[in-house]
Amino acid sequence: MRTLVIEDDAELCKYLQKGLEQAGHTVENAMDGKSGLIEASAEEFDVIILDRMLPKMDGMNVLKALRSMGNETPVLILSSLGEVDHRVEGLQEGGDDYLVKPFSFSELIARVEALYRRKTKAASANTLRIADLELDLLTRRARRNGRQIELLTREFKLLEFLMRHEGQVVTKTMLLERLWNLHFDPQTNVVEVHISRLRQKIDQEGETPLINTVRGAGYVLREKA
Amino acid sequence: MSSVKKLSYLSSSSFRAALLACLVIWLSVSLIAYALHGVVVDTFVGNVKSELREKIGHAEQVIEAGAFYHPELYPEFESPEPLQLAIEEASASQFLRDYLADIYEHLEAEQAVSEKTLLYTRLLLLGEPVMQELTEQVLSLPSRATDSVLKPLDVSPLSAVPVHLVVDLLYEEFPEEYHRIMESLIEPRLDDWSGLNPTEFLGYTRSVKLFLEAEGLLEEEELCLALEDASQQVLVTNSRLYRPGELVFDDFFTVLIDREQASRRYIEERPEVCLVTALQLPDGGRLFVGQSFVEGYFLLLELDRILVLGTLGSLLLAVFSGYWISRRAMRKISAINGLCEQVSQGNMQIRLEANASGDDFDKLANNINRMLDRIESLMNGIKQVSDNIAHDLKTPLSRLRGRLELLSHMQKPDKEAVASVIQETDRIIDCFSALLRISQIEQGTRRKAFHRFDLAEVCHTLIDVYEPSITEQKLNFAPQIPDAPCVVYGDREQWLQAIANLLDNAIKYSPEGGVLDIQLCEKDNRWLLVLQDSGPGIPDTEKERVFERFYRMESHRGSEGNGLGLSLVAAVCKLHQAEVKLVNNQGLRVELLVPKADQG
Repeated sequence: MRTLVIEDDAELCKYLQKGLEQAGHTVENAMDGKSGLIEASAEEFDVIILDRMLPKMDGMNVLKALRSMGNETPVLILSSLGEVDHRVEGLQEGGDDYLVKPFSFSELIARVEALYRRKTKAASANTLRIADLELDLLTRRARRNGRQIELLTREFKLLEFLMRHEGQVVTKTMLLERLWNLHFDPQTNVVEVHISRLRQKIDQEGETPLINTVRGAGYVLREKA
Repeated sequence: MSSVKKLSYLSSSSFRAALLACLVIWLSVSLIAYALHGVVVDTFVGNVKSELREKIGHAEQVIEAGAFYHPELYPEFESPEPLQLAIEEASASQFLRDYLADIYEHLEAEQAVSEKTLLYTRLLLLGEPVMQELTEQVLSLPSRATDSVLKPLDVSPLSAVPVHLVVDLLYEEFPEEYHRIMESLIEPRLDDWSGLNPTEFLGYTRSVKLFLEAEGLLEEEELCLALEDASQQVLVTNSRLYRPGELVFDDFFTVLIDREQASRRYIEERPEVCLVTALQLPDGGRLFVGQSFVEGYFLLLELDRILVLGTLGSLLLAVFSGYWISRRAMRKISAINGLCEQVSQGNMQIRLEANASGDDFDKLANNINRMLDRIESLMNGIKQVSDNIAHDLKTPLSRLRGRLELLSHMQKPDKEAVASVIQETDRIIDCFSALLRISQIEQGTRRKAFHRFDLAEVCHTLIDVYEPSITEQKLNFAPQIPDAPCVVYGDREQWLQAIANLLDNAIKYSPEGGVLDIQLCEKDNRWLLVLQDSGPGIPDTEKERVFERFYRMESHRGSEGNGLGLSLVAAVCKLHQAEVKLVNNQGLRVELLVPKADQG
């Protein structure tokens, strides 16, 4: 997976490169907006990680230029400006995801993976299926191992999201953002409770657990633990 | 206060303004006083002047007509001896006038005297040979009266008086029908009286001298006169005039005079003063005519003195008033200056004295004091917050340090330990983010992100998020949120977080199996959101303080949380002009009153 990191903070750059390479990415670096734009338009990347505040050329302008050139590479915007209108602006200008500094690396990698997957497959089936778990998107019912599973709306949404990101780590923040459009972290462990309720319905005694917790990162739905 | 520099009066604008005002008042009052003085002088002097001018004018006519008697003018007559006639009388003319009047009065008083008798008597007296006619007329006249009248003058008086004077007198005294008789009697005499015509004109100066003597003016107490001939030799005078150096004729001047002691009726302490004019006579002589001006002069002198002293006195008074008026202002300003200096040196406790008089300085002092109170409380607030931040962050940071140290000693770093270090760091970052967010909300810079949104939808979303947690706690939960939109104008994200914070608290502090109520309704044209839990509540004494940053109640010290949740709620409410109330009602009842969005 080829990833371009456009970030002027040298230390953060180094840290991102190291982390991403460990996760199996090929990483290119650009330290300012101009050279970032040149590199992004010269080569093909799977994902671009773009800092909002950049010397020489502002991150938003890089994004605008890229999109106007017809470059559709998924872009993850990094910013220390976390307010809602900044986020909306970033996404409107063609950003695909928005991550506020400071962030945890696992959050970043989860989001980059998600972007990459979204690029590779655009599923449009009526039924999602993983191992023996089946989710009917029309009737909003799940079925596993021959047993019907009744789902509440929010449980259905959660399961759908997890299944669409099969094999990817999904963070708490991502869940709060995508399912409820909440951009802050509630104090209590609401997400854990949601997951554990869903897990009670999906993974029953004797079955291979499908919903797995990744410590310090989030959750992943996959066949093998 | 010793360090405070005293303002110097000259550099004080209030002193200068007060002084200027007082000086302007002084100047205008002085001008009025001088104008009044001028009017008084004009009145006093003017009266005397016009009186004198009138006299002079009259005298000029008389002199030019030669219509006065002086023996020197009529040398044909034997010179009358005024002293023989009557010692007290000043002149012959005067004597005659008085004497005749006396007789007339006398005779009239005797009654039964016909006018004709009177006429004959008068003519007889005047020396006419009318004895016979009179005798016929007045046989019945009482002898005593005739005696007393006739005795003093057995000489022929007419030889002593000018005829035309007699004629004048008789004309005045008698009715017109007698004039003819007189004329018929007198005229023959006049015809052959050469002395009727005065000697040739004697020159102006001499005429004046004779006039003055004939009219007895020199003896008049009120007048002061001096006549000089062309060689400035004094001819007649009744007083010693001190002449001014240069004479301006026809103008008036006041002089001190020294009367002859003998002619002074009484001797007074003060000198005599005359208002005098000098007249240039056609033949080079000079006449000084003056009128006694003692009363007026001393009055005016007194007035002058009052004016000068008054002006100087009121000038002093004006300066003093300026000083006195501005003194209070100066003192107050000095006090304020001193206070400002002290405050700028860091003494925040100092306050101005306010004396409750309600004047402008008092209001200023009160306002300054209130401002200082506010600044002090804000400074204390900032100090407390930064103390709290320092304290609250020091704890997790030192914990973090400890863990890292522990990790560094490990041969093979334990994943668990690293994870907990990361968690600790996340908590610190969260804390900072929350602080930053609160201060952003408090600054109100995000107001441009305001838009209309549905508060009920916000509640539904949050309930959807929190419901599993609520159920897990086995809370008795019955939300009452209307389906109809409850439109609010504001920042949806901020309200999401604020209400989430309240829900967090409610769930956190409710005992298992307790009650949690959420209710959204309309009240007093605002939206009322009520969250009722069955937790321990908040003591009344701490109700205000729980909104402070990092404030955590003693009983909750052990539990999770950074003490910023309610601070954020307060900040959001303040920004949206909403109200938050904490009520203890079998647990804590939080009431949020949120203004409705305007229609349209």
